[in-house]
Amino acid sequence: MTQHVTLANLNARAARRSLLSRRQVMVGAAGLSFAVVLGVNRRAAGAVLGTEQAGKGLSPWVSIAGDGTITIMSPATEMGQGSMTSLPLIIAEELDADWSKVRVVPAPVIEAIYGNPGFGGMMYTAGSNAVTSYYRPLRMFGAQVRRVLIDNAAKKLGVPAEELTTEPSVVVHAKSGRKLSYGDIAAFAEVPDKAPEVKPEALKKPSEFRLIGKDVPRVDVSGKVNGSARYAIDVQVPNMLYGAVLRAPVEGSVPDKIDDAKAKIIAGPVRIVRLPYGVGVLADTPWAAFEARRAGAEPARPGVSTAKRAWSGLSPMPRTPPVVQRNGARWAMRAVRCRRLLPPSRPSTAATTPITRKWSR
Amino acid sequence: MAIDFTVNGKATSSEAPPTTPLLWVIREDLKLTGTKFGCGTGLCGACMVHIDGKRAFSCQTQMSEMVGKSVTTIEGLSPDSSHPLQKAWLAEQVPQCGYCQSGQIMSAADLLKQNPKPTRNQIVEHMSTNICRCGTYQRIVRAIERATREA
Ligand code: FES
Ligand code: FES
Repeated sequence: MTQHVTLANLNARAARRSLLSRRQVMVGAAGLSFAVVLGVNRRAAGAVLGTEQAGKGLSPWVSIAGDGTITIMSPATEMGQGSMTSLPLIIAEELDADWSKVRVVPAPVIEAIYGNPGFGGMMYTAGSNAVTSYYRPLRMFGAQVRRVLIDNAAKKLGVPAEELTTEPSVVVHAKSGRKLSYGDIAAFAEVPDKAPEVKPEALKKPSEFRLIGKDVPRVDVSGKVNGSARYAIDVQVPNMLYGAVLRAPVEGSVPDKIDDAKAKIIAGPVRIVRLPYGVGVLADTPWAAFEARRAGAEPARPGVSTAKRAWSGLSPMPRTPPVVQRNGARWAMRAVRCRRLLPPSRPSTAATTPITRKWSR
Repeated sequence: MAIDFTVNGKATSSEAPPTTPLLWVIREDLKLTGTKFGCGTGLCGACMVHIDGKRAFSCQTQMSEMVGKSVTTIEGLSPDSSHPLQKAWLAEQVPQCGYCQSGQIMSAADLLKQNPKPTRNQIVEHMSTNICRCGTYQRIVRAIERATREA
């Protein structure tokens, strides 16, 4: 709970700040963007990384654990298009990270940091836009974290930073043959308040890319073959309620009277919400919500149609706001579909499950 | 009245009303959210599980039918994604959004149990119970064919 509050506050603060400098945050001068981002980050990283056990936060985008695991934020919604792989990969490229040690986590909703520059800084994923819009800033953020690692390694080894290069997840001092892994450096690294300046010409040349443009398996696929991938519908929080909507069977109609007695008998404690286009039901479980909705639509006695019972005394003229009329055709269809979504009530038969009836073998 | 049954090898007891579909007990009470809710009417296959070794729509199976039965969900298909179909699914990079894929894999596993060497037509016919909104059908068929070769 505390964490949610913290993130919400952060969000509000970030939003205020972003009115002034959202664009700068993402694509402005490197120093400024890092500074602004770090200012927000100190707490964002605490909130996010505290739960992820990811090691030291080197930027809002990257944290590195002592064992070399590199956690990179993914700012876009993964819908199977691969953003969760391609965007962190861009950071990993300039960071010179060992991709096999990278773990990707969805970024928290903090638009000032993770917003899509192509959508004015909104965290919005659409239009094949993510890679194009994030490409430059993410390369810069990756390069800045690499520079922080190099600077820390230089201090530790007592050599000028210019003499250091990187191999995947390792800082190398070729002259003396000494090496420090990113995990080792993270353990003692000091993170500057202001991002180190990285000139665009210091970024990798495409010919030096190890990851971008190569065939890299998507990181989201493994969770999608064993049920562990998490979708919005899978999120469960304590005391959460579930809603179902019984939509008007006739365009523009509203219920005259709502009788929730039957719904309560069938589904237990439910709350009824009057909506401009139908009746909402809130219940403790999804099934109770569906059952309550069905109870609301069931005919009172044989021969009386569902529509008549649930919506008796309907005015033939639309009484609802124009929004219903605008989408009239679609809404009307949905109302019908909605009812069909409900499984027919049937006596439970232990011997013949529907599946055996459908696919007798 | 508690309903005793087995889920992924573990003895389980449910207090849910007997008319509750198995799907919601699996997802909400047992927190096995790999099994998905798609249509709730036996049309899409997102909720497919195995009951006593055969595939079944969990959205169409009431808890009252579950007494003494044994359920396998996608989480219980193998302990470490090592089922030949899961490996083939990875090799062919089948999932797009992935929402339908638990059900697809459970359906395919049922097929291979009955018929370890199905023809392409048999695959297509058997898998017709499962809808993929992303249209990954080509890769699904390829992955099943791969699994029959490599199993
Ligand atoms: S949810 Fe069961 S078949 Fe669609
Ligand atoms: S992968 Fe998206 S519905 Fe099948």
